Amino acid sequence: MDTFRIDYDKVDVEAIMAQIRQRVREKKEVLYSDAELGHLGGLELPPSAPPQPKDVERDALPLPEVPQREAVPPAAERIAERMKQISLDDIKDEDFVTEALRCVGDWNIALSIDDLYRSSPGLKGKIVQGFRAINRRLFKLVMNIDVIFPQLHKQAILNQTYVVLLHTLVQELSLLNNKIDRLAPEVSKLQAELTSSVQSLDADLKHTRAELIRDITSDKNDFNRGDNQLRNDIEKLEYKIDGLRGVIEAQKHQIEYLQSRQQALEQLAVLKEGEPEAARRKTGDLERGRYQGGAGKSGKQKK
Amino acid sequence: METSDLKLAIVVQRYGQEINGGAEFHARLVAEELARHYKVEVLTTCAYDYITWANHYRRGVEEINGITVRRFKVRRKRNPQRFGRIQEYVFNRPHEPEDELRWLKEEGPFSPRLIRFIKTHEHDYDYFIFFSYRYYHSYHGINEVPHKSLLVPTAEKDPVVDLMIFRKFFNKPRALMYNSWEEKEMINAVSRNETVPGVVVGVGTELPEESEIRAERFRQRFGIEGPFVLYIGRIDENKGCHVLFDYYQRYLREHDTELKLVLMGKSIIPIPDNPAIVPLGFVSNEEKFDGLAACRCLINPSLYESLSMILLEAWAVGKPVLVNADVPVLLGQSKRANAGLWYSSYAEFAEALNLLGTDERLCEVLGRNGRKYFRENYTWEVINNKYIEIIEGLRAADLEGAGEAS
Repeated sequence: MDTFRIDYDKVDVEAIMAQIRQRVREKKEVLYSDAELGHLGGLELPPSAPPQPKDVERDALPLPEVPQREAVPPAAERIAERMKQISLDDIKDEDFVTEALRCVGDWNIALSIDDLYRSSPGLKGKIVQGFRAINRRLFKLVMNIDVIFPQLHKQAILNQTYVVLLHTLVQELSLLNNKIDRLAPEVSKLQAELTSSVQSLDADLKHTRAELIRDITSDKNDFNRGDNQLRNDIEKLEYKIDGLRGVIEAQKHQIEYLQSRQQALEQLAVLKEGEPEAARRKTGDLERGRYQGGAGKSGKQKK
Repeated sequence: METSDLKLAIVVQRYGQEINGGAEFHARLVAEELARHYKVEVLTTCAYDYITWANHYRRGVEEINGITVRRFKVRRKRNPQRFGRIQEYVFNRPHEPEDELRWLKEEGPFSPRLIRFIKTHEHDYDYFIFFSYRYYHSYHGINEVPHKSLLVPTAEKDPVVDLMIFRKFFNKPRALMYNSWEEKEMINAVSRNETVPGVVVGVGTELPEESEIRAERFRQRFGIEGPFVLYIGRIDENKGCHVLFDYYQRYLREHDTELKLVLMGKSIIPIPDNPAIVPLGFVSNEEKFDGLAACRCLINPSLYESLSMILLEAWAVGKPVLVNADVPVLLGQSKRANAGLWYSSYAEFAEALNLLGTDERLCEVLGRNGRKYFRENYTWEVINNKYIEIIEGLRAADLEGAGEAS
């Protein structure tokens, strides 16, 4: 990864932070850098091809030499001790795989067919070992021990693969943990915002509901008021209509009266046609004085 | 500037030389500075402990650094269980504004006498400057005298600012003095109070003379050698110290470094037993500035801030800072000053700390930027002028209003 590019004459903290974020992104995207991968590639790993059964005796697994038992504690104890000390941080460490492969003999299956016939280095051991060597061919007649070793070899390869897998998983886990750490404040921020929005919405809802109820109540009152007003208006109109009806009736009576009067006058005029001229004129004057227009005209026409 | 005949009342929840907590210390510095230009009195409670508000000082009038201080009894101590229950309710459940008022009363300091005094002596003061919006005294005090009120909210991004009762409240004072642009934006967003005059003021700090600050004296006194980063403040979860300890110890495991972490301040949480972490406890002002001069950079992992005074102090002595990017105020201050880096994850923390811990030239340049930013924005002269401008603006408006009325 590149070093920081900083212009000291014109430092910009936002530009520096952009570089920091870029470096963080790069680290998260790549589990192993090119250099680290090259280093791992250069390591001498044990051969992985399973040997043929007939060769198992000589080169079952080219694993590291068996450690001197007198100088160091047995492998099982060492592994148990190591397991007590090991932590997730150790597994996450970039050198974990390299270190594990370096001391593979301490923890992986390292058994050859010769080990089955070997014994302690003392005199007794040598006697036992000689006895076993004599019977070695005899055992071959009794059972086929050779088939065990290819299976053990497979298991040894699988164990090594598990180590790499474990390392990768722990690294992935730590990346996820980092991501969770990074997201945690955002999540709490969003939760706070959500709570605040819910509260705000709730308050708005209550407010709107109250306003709606107030509006409805107000409309209802207005309606009731309007309704009463309308009733009053109708009643007033009915009074007026009744009044008008009375007037109309009165007018009708007046008209009928006038009509009957007119008829009476006409009958009177017919009766008077036979009377002397002076009396007729007097009647005509009388008629003009009372009914100007029609009666006069008719008088003239008759004249 | 000549002394004016205006009389100001600074209203704050606690007051005293022993009280170093954010808003209260801020209020004391502002009161002492404004006293050079106006007649200033402080109205406060008898409380010393900000958790229980138990009465500690004597009720009545006393003088502190030439300022008249009127203290009023707290009628009821805070009951942490009851307060916790109601706080949980109003923060997390649907509720009514009345519930929030109950919360405010529980939070305290519940001193109705202080509010009554403000109401009955309204005409004795020209303006009331309230500190800390979230306490009982500010909410009820401003409701009594909104036309004479100025508010220094000292608001942080926490659930309190979203409470319903504060939406209208931020529209009531005549003016607001914000600590930072981020605080102003946040309050504008929750209360839509853009029409209320508001100015970003911040606060100055008591700086010793540059010649009196000696890095070597600090190293000798505490026996600290080699490069170190410094944390100053209460060692508490709310200040993000648990995250700082976790990140710093992981950093030590993953890097071959001599960089130490030195802590100054009272510890509320356990400090990890690690030789690279050096707790010094409570230190004097002189030791604080000596330590700042000796450190590589200052770390502020705080989770809540309305204005970080310690950042300003670090910049005043020319040191860069490393801050928690999840706090908008810290992030904004560092960006504007161009004098600090920030982190929002362990990976960013490790990269930024590694850079500041190894690149002395960068620290020097960032420190220079910080010092320039401090001198341009946070000296007492700049801050006083902002306060005076607002107060005189209000007085001019009041006189004009009175003239029109007559």
